[in-house]
Amino acid sequence: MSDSTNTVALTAHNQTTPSFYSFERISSVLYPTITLAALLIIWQTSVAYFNVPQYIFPSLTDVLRELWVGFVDGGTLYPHLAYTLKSALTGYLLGCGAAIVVGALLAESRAFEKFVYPLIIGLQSTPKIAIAPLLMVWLGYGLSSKIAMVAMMCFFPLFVNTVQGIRQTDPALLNMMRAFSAPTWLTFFRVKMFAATSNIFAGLQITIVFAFIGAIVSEFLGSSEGLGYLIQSAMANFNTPVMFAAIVTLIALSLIGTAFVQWVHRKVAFWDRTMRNKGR
Amino acid sequence: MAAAGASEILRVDDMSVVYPSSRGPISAVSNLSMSMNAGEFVSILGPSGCGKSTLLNVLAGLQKASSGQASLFGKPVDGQPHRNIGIVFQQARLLPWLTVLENIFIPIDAMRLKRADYLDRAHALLKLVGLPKFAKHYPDELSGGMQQRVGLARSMIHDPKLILMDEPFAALDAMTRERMSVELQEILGKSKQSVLFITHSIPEAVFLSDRVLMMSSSPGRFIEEVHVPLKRPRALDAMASGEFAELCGRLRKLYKH
Repeated sequence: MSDSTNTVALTAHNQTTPSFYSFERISSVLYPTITLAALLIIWQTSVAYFNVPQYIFPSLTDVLRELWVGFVDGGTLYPHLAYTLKSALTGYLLGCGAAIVVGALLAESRAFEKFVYPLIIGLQSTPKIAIAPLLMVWLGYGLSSKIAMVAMMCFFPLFVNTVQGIRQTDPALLNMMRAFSAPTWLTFFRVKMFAATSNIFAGLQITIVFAFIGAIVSEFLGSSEGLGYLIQSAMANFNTPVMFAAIVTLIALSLIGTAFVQWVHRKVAFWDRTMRNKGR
Repeated sequence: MAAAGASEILRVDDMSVVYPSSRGPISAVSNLSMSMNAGEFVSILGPSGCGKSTLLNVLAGLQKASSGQASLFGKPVDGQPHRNIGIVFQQARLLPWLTVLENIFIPIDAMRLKRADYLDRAHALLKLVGLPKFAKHYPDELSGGMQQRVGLARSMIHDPKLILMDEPFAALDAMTRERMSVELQEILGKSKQSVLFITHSIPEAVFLSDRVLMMSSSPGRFIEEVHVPLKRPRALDAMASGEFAELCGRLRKLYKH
């Protein structure tokens, strides 16, 4: 009896998803690539043109050579990459897992919200990096102090996002659940956790970048491995090409991490219109 | 209760709801009294802000009355939702992450009943509301009218004796709204539920109801009761009849903003 409205609703919805080879899709990748290529050319030519010494600013080819040696011909960068990845990802998983669990518990408990939440908000404003040396004192110079640092950097932003996401649940939906006599646990798992999903993923996306920052900073402070250690030891020798290679690797890690979180977000939060409009 | 008769399912006695505010208490509804019998379709008609929804919220157990009493099936409601009612809201309020079928099962899950026992009924209801092929769809793949029908099916899944409807068609366009009124009448003809229907549309109230209770605003109180003797089933043509126009006219005269 309502077939005309049905089809309208369904097709309109399909059209919002751009096809894989659409113009928007290609141009969204192409245009920034052009800018990047131009910048790289300017870099290479101006370094050569102004005769900039390599220890001040290496040329693009110097950096590429370093990356080639590091990853293909010799593989000297791999152990450092593995070390940084290990501390960043372990810390990320621990910190984020704790943030979601604790955030969910707190958002549901009025007492905890009153007594503890303001303190946590206050704590969030402490520069976490300032605590890194303390963690070294407590946990030593090994992997555990790095993991602790990363976990701490990831915990707070995601914790706040989780609490806010759960609290932002549409009151109309909560009212509906109440009207049907839903018990608290059902409302929590069927409504609030889903409502918070986008906020949680926004947090996961910010914190994946924080994870690498935390790992690098703690490696600066004291480590015998990792990309942060590599940058610091190269600094002592004015070996800027190695520093650049390490930095490029870190940028790549952050980009891949962010893209991965976005991809998971799209897979998990299939109902979220804002995600769907970004294509898939 | 005994004096009220066996078929009485809803009773409101001298009920008032007062909200606190910075400028002192505001009276939302004042000294409401009404009752409803099983099988009746009763509309509460009134301008926006007259406290229609406040009355419905008290009956749904979402809000407490400040004085007086509301009872469902002979038991007072005091801020605790009754299991024998269904509710339809102005917006469909479906969960976008659940399929249509899973949304319909919400009252079943909420009351810790077994889904399996209600699966046949869920599919029968989907057929009844005209969406037999949409069980596996997600709400945002449906139009507003279709979503509201899912909301209707959800309110009926646990076979409640009474359904409370809070302006369920107010968010729909005029054409869909008329069609939904006809469909609702057909559905209720088969399912035999009692309905308390909140609306601010005079023709909608007259078309659907056995009885229309008119409310005035600030504070909300009942000012008139109109019986609608039009025969059922009513087609949209009934709206063109003189009797229909006469009833609407009577109500319109009372409609003060």
